[in-house]
Amino acid sequence: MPSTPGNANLKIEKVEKLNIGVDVAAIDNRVRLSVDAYQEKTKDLFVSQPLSATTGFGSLAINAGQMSNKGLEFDLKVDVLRQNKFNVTVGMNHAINVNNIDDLGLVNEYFLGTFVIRKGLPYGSHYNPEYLGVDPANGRPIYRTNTGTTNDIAQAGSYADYGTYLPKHVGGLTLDVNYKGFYVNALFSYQFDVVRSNNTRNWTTDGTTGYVSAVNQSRELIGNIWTQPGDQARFPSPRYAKGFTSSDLEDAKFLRFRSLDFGYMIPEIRANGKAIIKNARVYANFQNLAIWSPWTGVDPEDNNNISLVEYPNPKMVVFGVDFKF
Amino acid sequence: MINMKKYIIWILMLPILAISSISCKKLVEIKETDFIGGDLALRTVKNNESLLIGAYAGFQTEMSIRLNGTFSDELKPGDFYASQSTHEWQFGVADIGIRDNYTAITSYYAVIDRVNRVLQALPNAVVEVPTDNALREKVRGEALFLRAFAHFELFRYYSKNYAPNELGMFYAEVPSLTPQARIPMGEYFTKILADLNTAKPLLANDLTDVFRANRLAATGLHARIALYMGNWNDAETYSTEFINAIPLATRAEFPGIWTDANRRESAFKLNRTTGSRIGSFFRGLFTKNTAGATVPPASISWVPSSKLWNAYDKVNDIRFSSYLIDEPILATVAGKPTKIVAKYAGTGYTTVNENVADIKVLRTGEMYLIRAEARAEKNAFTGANSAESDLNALRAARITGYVNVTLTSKENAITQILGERFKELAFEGHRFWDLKRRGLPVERLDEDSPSALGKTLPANNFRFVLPIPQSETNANPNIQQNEGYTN
Repeated sequence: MPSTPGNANLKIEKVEKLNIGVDVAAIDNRVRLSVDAYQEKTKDLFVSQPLSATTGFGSLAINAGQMSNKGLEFDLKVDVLRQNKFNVTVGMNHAINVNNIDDLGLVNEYFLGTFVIRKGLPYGSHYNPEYLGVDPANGRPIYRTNTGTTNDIAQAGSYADYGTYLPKHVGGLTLDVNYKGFYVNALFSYQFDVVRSNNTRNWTTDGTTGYVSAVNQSRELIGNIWTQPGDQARFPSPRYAKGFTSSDLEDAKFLRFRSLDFGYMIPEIRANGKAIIKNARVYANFQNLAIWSPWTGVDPEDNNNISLVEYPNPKMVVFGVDFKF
Repeated sequence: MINMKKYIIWILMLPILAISSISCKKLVEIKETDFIGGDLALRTVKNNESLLIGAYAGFQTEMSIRLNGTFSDELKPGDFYASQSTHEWQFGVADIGIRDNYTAITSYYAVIDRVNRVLQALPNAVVEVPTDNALREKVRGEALFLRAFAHFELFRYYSKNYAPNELGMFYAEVPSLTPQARIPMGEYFTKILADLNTAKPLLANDLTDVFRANRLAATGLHARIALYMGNWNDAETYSTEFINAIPLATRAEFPGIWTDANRRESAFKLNRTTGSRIGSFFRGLFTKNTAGATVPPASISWVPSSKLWNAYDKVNDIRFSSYLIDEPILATVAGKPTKIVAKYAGTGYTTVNENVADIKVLRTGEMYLIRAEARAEKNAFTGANSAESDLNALRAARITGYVNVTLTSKENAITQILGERFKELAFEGHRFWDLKRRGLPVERLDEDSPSALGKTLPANNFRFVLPIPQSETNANPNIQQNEGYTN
């Protein structure tokens, strides 16, 4: 049976890259800055073009249009203290990426599930009906339409005004301290200008019979669900599903205390002029100690558009002793 | 050791040779060897028959059984319910595809694409044995039959009631990747009937293989299409042709139709095996515990509505015991509904073919009701060769001790016929579209309604017609959305 229509003209996409980098060091090499600016143009972009069902197929692999990425990356390190036995270095890196669809060839947009690839918008822009809250009179959801609002999802249009799931800003902060044999290394990382759909929350706050019987519902519903005329509620009456809408799109920015290492390097132990232990290390390593984020789900960090029952980054604590003989 | 050295040098040289002999450009231009295009795949008549079988495989009318059951008053939720958006008519353009899979547009156009490839390749297909010449004609007939049928199904999902100037769908006659617009129903149905009429003389004129289209299947389909078009003469003519060739089953034979013990009444069935258990749409499988006792299924999704349950003469009507059961095993578990659908139970609880049943697409019971309706519409509601005689003949075949009724008016006949269709054709994919066709509301009993909102779908509401799914309007700027829905 024919499974794909095939495209004999498909070719490899071309990427044009332009990179300018500067490395600067000052004050006896104690301040080090490295800056990279880049511009990347992807031509003959691979797109899985959705096909009309009337063709008998779902999609066709094509080369369509052009996408550009412009960005700035910098990495700064400062040796705050540099002594024989006491060193402190702080660092910071940040990357800004601006993505844009410059051209899509024959058409202006492609829809891929819950996001849109549209000329003039960044890749991965969410595309959903806009949820405007609950109608206090009857508990029905309110959606935006081109001319006003509606209570019926069938008449709600979809919009692309909510942002993209690919973060524009990402970066990190580091701290390295060592004093005699003791050392502490810490790493924080962050991202912002990013929006993801909290699909798990969509399920746990749906409130309708089907979801209540299939998925444990969230305590969040208590006091926030419409029960009688006049209620100013966030969630509609359980008689009405609000559907997959903008209501579950959340800011997925975060600051994460990603790792903390500390330990002590034990010096060589000698006996009778021979090294019994060349060196040893006692250490502790903590991963994902804390996260600060407006995201209400388990973990905002992932590079996809929808968060649905995903495992979070694990918290880990490792204690160890290393011996070298 | 010397030999070893020689080998090592040889091995080292290989990648160098490889690099120097293939340039990058050539790498890009290597012809794919796993690609089988139409010219190769459809070379012979037999090849074309294989793709035709592939089209049958994609032709799945189960979706209409699910839709007509859950959108109408046939079914109510069992002990697991997650279909509020469709069952309570709250769906929009997106969730018709995401939450509940009612995207008929995808599966039927895939079938159509397959038969169109066959119809395109068939004239030049190579004959390997002399019988291939006859096979070519038969394959062509079946391909045209499926094309007509698939387009007719699309009409039932996505178009309003038949009216020549209202929108049909796009009628696909050649494989093409171009997004297409819908055409008016007048033109659309002309094409459906042209395909069907061309197919008829090419099809096998016997019932040896009811899993392949045959002349009576085309006749039955023609009767059904005429019913939807309100062409009462054709509806009467073709249903009569079908009825004369395939009589009603006896009461003794009737239960065997549903367990596939016999093939009575059917001109066309879809062959089903354990890979596709239609009965599992209604309920899960029974199991056996270690003690050997039968254990109820974990979930019972859909059960017959009380409205349907109460419609039958439970003692004398063979359809009641063939279609429904009040299962005592289920009473052993608290909270389980006990009144369930038995029609698609297959070979029985805990057997290999539990919930497996062939899909009966066109059968005599329906033809009697098509003819009765056509005759009533022609004002032949009582007397010989009337709606009354058809209704009485059908009921007499199903109900022990049945006493003939006299119909008093055309309206009385239509009401009785729709009530009979509700009982005779339950879970066969008709009810919701019958109500749509007749401009009637869906009216559930209080005890069948999951909510106040899910009690009534007003007559002629826009949701009797499904929306063109969002995936389609996104991909196809030419396609027209149905009234009431916004992309």
